[in-house]
Amino acid sequence: MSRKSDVCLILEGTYPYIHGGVSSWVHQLICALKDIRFSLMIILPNREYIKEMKYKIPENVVDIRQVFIHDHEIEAKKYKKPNKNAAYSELEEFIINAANGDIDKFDGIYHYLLKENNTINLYDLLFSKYGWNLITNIYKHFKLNISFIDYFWTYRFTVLPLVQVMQAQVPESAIYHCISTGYAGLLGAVAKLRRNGALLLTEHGIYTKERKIEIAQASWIYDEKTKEARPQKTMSFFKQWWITTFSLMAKICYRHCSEIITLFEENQKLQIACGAMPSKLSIIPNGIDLKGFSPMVRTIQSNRTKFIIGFVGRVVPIKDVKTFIKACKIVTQYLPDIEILIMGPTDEEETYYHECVLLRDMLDLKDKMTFTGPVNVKEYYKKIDLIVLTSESEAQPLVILEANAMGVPVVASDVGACRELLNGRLPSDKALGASGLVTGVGSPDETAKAIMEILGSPDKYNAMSISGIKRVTELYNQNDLFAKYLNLYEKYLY
Amino acid sequence: MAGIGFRLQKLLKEDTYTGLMKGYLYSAIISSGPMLVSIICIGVLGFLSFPVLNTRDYLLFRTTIIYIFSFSIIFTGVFQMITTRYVADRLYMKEPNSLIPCFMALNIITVINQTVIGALFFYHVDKNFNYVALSTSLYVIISWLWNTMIFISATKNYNTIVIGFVIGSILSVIGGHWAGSHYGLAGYIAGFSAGQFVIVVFLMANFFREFDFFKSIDFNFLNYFIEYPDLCFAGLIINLSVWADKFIFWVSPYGVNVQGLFYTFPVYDSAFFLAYLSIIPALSIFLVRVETSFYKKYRSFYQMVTGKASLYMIESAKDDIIRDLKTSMMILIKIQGTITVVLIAGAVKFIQIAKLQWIQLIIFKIGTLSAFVLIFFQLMVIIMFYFEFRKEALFLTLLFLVTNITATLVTLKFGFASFGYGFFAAGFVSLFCGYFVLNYKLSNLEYLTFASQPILKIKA
Repeated sequence: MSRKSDVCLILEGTYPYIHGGVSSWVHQLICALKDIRFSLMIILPNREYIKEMKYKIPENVVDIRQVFIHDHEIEAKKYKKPNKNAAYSELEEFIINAANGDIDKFDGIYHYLLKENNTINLYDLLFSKYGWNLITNIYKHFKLNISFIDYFWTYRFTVLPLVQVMQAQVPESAIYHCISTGYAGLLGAVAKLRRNGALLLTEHGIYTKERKIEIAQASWIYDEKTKEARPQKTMSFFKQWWITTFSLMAKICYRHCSEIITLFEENQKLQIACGAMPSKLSIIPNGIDLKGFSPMVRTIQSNRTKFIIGFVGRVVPIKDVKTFIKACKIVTQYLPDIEILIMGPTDEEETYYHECVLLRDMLDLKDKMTFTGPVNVKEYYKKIDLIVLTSESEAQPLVILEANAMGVPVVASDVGACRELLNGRLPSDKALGASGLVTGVGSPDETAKAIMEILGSPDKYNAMSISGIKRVTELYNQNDLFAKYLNLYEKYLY
Repeated sequence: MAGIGFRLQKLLKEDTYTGLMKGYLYSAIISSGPMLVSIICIGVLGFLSFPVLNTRDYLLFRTTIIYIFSFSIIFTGVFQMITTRYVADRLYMKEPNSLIPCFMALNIITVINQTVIGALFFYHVDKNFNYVALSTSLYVIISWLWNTMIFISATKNYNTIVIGFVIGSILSVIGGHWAGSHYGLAGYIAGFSAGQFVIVVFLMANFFREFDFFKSIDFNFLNYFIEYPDLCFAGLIINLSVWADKFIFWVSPYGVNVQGLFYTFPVYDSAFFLAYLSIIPALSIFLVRVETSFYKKYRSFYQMVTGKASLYMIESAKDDIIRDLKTSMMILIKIQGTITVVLIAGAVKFIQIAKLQWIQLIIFKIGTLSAFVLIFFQLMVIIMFYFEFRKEALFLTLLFLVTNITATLVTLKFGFASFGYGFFAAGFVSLFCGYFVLNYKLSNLEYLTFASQPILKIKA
């Protein structure tokens, strides 16, 4: 199990222990590229996560290693190294620069923290005078005036996972491929520096941004009390601390990457804002496996008034189901015979679901609109005329690809990759024509208008159906997209 | 010791001369009561006993009392620090109801242990039943007294404490003298014991009156032996080290065999005992300063740490502690220095008043210097316990024990003129080391406070 691998995938809290979009993508990638020997470096919070694998590990995985960033077995080895002062003052300088966003010194200091050097070790950082001088010097350098006990513990809980990650025993590999920034990105950067491999990064969602939202809402981080009653514009010191830490990790990762890949253009803007060099960026979207889909070019008669409109997604606030329901109400005023299906689990946020049911009943849509619960959508696509998405936030929704693959046009809110998926991204892609319409977020009017525009114009409907099928088969075929990864890997393997 | 602080603060708040004097007097009694009483009683009874007892019986009486005080404090010392800690923790946790059960349990252990030890020992001194029974009883009573002193600092009726000591001491002297003149040696011991018993009862009654209890006996505090073994050793060694030089002289060729297991060397002992009395003012001043001004700063430091203060505030709180300790030390040096100078200058007079022999003059002089050094050393150790520098405190007490034994053995070789210098040298070396250890520890106080925190397991 410990042969040298071609590609080491660095995963944080996902595959193979946790179900999800990214996990299944990783699984499919490994399965698709049978000739590549993969190793997995898995970053997990603690040992409790490794109870059960949710995926069957494919044969071409040759090595699996884990690092548990919040488990700590600190060796209190106090063997005297001649003098660590030099290393610590370099580290101090790095941290002071890093707090201002400058990570240039990282390449010069990372090796002090490696297990084989052990110049700067966890014991010293947490318990010794070295660590103490480091944090008090920094505190004084920035003339801080905040709660020291919180500063101290925030430091400890920042340092603990960072050092665990940096000291992880990474499999030997020609390529290190991070599937997110954060701890995985940092681990990848260190692995690259240590082993001289190439570093690739694929970001599905933008880790730094996701963390930022999480931290802003976190209640476990100490907020200094302010006397002002109005809400603060800036976040508290410690929230800022965590956000800075995560964006620095991303920055270090971006700097050492040879390729920075994401799913769609929106994400690229965020990556650039986080410090990624534009020249390294590229897009490889997620594709779908076309095998299960039978494309069917759709047409509608000009006098037809009966339609089935579908909404695919979990009934949760972020999908903004209410906007969809309101839009449907508007549509029924012009097309009273439509039937509406909301397909997706309703048990995730039950209060929201009940609110949606209430809204439907209030708007007198009870006999037209059905919540189906989780269903096999592929079966439903055959009879559905139009798919609508009103999400507040999306990455690259597979629903659009699936609907288009079946020849169903889509109305989607302008979030994530929706515009690219419906209108095309590159010139050749755009030339295929639109496969649906993009609407404003949270706008029932626009959504209703788009629905009626498509259903009211048989020519447009037909063109969109054709464009959708073409676009998905030509540009979003999963096998083609994984082949792009194969090309990338081969570029750095030889 | 923590409990007494607030009350002393109140006492001193009157800020009148009498208020201050009262404060110091109470502190003197709490910090050195039993020692003070025993030395004074032996001295007074010594004066009075000559016409009543013959020289041999007086020597037997005196040796009995000294053995009882020294061995009782050493053996109860094993529990002393542990129990002090337990009491402080319970008071901190606002569980005052658990003091009496602990006190009862401690006394049960003490009675059983000390009865066995005392009876066995005194049987090998004198087979006379009355003597063995009375001496063993006194041994147990004095052990009780030590135990009571641990708990008494948690109470507030200082008047009762002082009255108890005064009445008990007077009773000891009168009772001893009266019973002694009727029944000889046994009467002397019995009378003396009666007075000591009155002190113990007074203190215990005072203690019991103030606290409630749900169950009468609780051996829970014994768990602290597992949790804080260093406190157990420190308690033992602190007391042992102060007596080590005396023990060595007793069994040395200079010592006198009184009877059976009784060896003694009054020439050395009494000079030193007299010199020890000189530390009482310093001890009480220190206690008052610690319990009032120092304790406030000490508490404020830890409040800053846990109360989300900035590093600068924490650092300045630490500086306050250090400054306060330095001020206390300076006051002590001035007062104890003056006392020492006066005692040495007037040594001839004191020797005459105390009816000591002339050969004890040198020992008395070096004894006062030793007392000077010893008091500083012991205060340093107490401060270390306040800051939880338990390992260092244990190391220092051990250092003093070892240096005291070594240096005393060396002086035995050099002869009479060097007696007492061993103890002084040991105290000086230990004080010197203690100063550096405490200084280092205190100047790193905030680091030690934070870095010693274990890192908690985070729940995911």
